[in-house]
Amino acid sequence: MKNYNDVEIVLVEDNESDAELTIRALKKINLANNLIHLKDGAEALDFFFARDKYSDRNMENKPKVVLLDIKMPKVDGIEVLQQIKTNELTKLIPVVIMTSSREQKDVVDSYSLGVNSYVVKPVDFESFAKAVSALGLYWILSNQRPE
Amino acid sequence: MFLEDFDYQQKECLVNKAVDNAFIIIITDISGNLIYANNNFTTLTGYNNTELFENSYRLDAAYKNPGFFTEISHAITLAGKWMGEIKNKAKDGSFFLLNAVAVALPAKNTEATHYVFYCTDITHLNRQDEITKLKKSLTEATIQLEITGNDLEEFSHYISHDLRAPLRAVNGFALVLKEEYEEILGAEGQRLIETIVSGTKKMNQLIEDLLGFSRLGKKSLSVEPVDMKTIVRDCLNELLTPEQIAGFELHIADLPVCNGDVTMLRQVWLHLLMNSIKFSSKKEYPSIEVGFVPDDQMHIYFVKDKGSGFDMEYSHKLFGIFQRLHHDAEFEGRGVGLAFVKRVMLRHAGNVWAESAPNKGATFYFSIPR
Repeated sequence: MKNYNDVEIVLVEDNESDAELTIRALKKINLANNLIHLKDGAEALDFFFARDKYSDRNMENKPKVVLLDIKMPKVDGIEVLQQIKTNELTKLIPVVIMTSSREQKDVVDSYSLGVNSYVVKPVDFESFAKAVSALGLYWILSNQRPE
Repeated sequence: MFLEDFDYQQKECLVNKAVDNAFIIIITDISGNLIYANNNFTTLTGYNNTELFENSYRLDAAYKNPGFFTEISHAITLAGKWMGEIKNKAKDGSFFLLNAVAVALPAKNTEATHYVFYCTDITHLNRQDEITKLKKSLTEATIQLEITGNDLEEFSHYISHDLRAPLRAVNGFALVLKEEYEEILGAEGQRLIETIVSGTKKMNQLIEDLLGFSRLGKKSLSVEPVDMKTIVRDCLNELLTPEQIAGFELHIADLPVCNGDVTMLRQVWLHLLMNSIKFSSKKEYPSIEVGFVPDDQMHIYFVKDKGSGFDMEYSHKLFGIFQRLHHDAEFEGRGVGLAFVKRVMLRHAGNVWAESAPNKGATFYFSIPR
């Protein structure tokens, strides 16, 4: 990733394997060029609010989609979602929760905070790859964002 | 009139009356045979005098303790009286509890020949105690149950998050390997990878089952009248094609409507019918009978097949989660259906049970309170 301001897809995922499989699925459909992988919720918050090592990032440049895991060390995905959706500068960024959990509590919490989509990661890689590429195609190519 | 106006005999009579009214009075000989009991005692026990003496009623009957009267004798020798509680049965089978003081007759110096028991009925007091105790243990049990429930919830949350991620890695990278190193792997290598992949799929299914099972415990029942006959018909149409249905000998009785959670009960029928169909699959003339057993208190339904059945010796394992009575090679399955059925029935305060013999078919019954 050369320039943080060109980022289109933000992948927030602490699990290296899941991250690699996600990136692999996006690469196959040529959507992984402007992707940044952040390793936990704390790093995600630094990125979105242009702090610490992301301090030279311009917050006006909004990624086209955030793929956000829920269960992460330090700051979890629900809290990241909450901070993104309650800040005027970031609340329009589309956030997709991608998690292993289909627990109703997680789903309800996410929607209450204004998540744009909630996807349960399938264990089976074929279905997983399908789900990821469908998400990529939809949010990067089909979805119309506010100017 | 003042008490001073009575003569001595009249006073004695009055005192006797007062004591007789206030206490339950019982006289026994020293080996415990009943000699006398006043009206208070007959009222309490429900036995009249004739019954008491004809049945040789004994105060120590409920103790099965041959030492009861010996203990009284010792206490009276040492302290002049015995004090304690007497628990016994009334005519209607209920227990009563007496707070008693016993003294010997004749008093002092001479060898005792009889005991007099002055008692007050404390059955009711004791019940209050019991209720308080029960309430306390109920509260404790509820707290314990909540803790267990929370543990289970946390556990299922843990499974759904943490167990699936590594499984996805195994499955995913095995497939990546297969795709990117196809030529190096060769046919055998590819087959081995397929085995890994199908193992991960199976394990994922087990995790899903376990989660679904634990979710069932959390879900609240929405009880309404359920048209069982329609559900059975719908389930059969879902499980079998019209051609397959034609191949079955089907009997569906006029099942009564019951009160229950329609979604859960539908699952119960699905599992039971699915089982019957599965275990009938090797029979030339498969048959399924769905009926009910008339009963005053419960709605009892059954599904009966002429399939491969099972040995009743293992029937205790039938409803445990992941328990199976057949090998995968015989009949595939994961051992979840009947565990689910059992759990739904328990949630409905009903039950499920089965009768079978190897190769004689099986009948599964379940009951729901009317």
